[in-house]
Amino acid sequence: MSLRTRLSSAALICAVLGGGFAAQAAPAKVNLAGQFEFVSDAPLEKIYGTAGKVSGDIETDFDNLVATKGTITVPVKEMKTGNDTRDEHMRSAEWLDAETHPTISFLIEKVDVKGMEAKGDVKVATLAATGKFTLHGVTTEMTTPVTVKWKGDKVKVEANFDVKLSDYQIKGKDGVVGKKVGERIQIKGALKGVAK
Amino acid sequence: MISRSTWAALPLLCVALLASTSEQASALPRMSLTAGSPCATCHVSPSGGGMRNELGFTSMNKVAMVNFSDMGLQALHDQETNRLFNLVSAGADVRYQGVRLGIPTPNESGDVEAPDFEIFQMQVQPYLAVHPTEWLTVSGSYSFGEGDNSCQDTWPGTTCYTAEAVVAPDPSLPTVRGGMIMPSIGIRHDDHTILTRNHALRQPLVPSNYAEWGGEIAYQPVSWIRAEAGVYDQSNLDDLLNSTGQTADLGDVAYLGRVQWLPQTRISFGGDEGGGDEFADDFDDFDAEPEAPFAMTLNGWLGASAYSSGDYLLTHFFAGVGSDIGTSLQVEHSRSSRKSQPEGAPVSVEIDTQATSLILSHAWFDWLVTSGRVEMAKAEFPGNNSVDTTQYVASLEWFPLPFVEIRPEYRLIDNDIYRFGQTTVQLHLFY
Repeated sequence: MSLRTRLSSAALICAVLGGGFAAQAAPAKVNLAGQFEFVSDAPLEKIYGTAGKVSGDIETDFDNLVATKGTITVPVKEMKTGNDTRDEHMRSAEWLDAETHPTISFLIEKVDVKGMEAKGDVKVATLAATGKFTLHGVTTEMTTPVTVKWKGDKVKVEANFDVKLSDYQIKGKDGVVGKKVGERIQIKGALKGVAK
Repeated sequence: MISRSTWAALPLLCVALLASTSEQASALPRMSLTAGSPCATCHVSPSGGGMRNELGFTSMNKVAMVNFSDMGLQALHDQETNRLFNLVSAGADVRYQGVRLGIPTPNESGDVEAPDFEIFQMQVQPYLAVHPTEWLTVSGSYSFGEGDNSCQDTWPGTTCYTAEAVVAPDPSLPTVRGGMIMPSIGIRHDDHTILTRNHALRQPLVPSNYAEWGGEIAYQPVSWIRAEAGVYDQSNLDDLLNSTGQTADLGDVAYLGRVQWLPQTRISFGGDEGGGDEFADDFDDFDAEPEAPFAMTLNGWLGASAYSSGDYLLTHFFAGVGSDIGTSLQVEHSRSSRKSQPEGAPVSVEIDTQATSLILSHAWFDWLVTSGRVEMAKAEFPGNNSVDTTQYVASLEWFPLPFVEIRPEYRLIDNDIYRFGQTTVQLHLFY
């Protein structure tokens, strides 16, 4: 093999390898979907609920997760507590005011990687996601722990956090928050999607 | 074989049946079990029943086959309070029932005939509550009788009125209530013909509007445990047990203790959302279009109460499980014992009763509920005499319009003396 041929082959190999690496590291779009569960634990009453049709539009780079940006959105009308009348109260103007504020959202602005491990083909990243959390029309900065698992282009995301109702000007009926509805609501979410 | 004492009890049984079907109703324990909410969530009184608070009012405001919104009355549908000036609230329960009062009896020709069907007033009871502060509620009610009777005092021991002050300063502190109050005995059912609050001869152990002057303290530091203790006058209890003959030697006061464990859990299976196991490392069955799991919350009760004065003791043991899919199952067992030895009598007289009720309900919609009830009761009298009664009740709770309930029922009573089945219907207007 001539030097010229060998150089040409080496260049081709580098191009292929380089191209392959570049494709793996390129930002990917992930449309997430799933459900959140929430719990209100007050002295007089414990209420379990779900929020369906949760969606996420995320841009990430699996080799550089700190570059992750995106938004998670929860439609308030999909929140249910297993009791239609209670759900109607929850969506009313006194509580979440679904008519004026139809969605709850988390705009991810910054991601810190706290840990990374591989379990065979499955990669697991523990993150701290910081961003703007908007509930009841009130936006606050929030940092929440997030776990991401992926295998190839398949992605699962889990988050656990809580919100304090008074931080979002959710007052409810006089005397109810703190007695029959928890001052803080615990939330656990699981979403998944395919990276494109 | 029917004992002589049982025949002797027949007139008493007739009176008992006539009166016990006319008893009033109040809270709905099945709602508490399916919603996972204690009675106090919807009622002014922490023990449940009677006047509804704001949450109770706004909840029932929307429970109807045709609600205010369907009628184009959105403002009424959206009404979020039953308070005026955030200070005063009013309410009422009005019930009429169509029923054959009494028991089958032989006519002149010897044929056994059922009593005539008639409609009578069960309950006309307005409520009023004043809320001077967030932690203090003062409320009262009056139970009007039918016709010339100013008071619905069907049974000895029944009170015409209740009047109570509830002090609920903070969830971390106990709630205190006092006045002419209903002691927190067992489960407060919406149908006071339930045998766990009566005995086999269908005389009440706890009349529908039973109340005493007294005070009660309740403590629920967390959602899953609640305890109550109270001390009361025993005048109405004395009237109930001793007005037609001394049956119980009572003490100067009556005492109550009740404790409840209120477990809750959330279960889900199927689907591929919701975290937990679904967040496993298994990606083989990965579906980017999530399927919702079947999930439900299970709410439970397990508790007991004891109400006592002197030689009288009434105990209730109760358990229940309900789910937010609308199904609930309740079981309650009650026992009572009383002893009396009138002056000069050679021996004491003892009466023991026990009863068990099992209730299965399902809410097909919030405005349509079916229930079935099976009950067994036994009363033991001096001289080894006893009466056994079994009662079966199947009912439909239908809320066609807001604050209107129509409840058709089929009731079958089977005891040592007769077996009598009949269809009844109840109209319940409330606010």
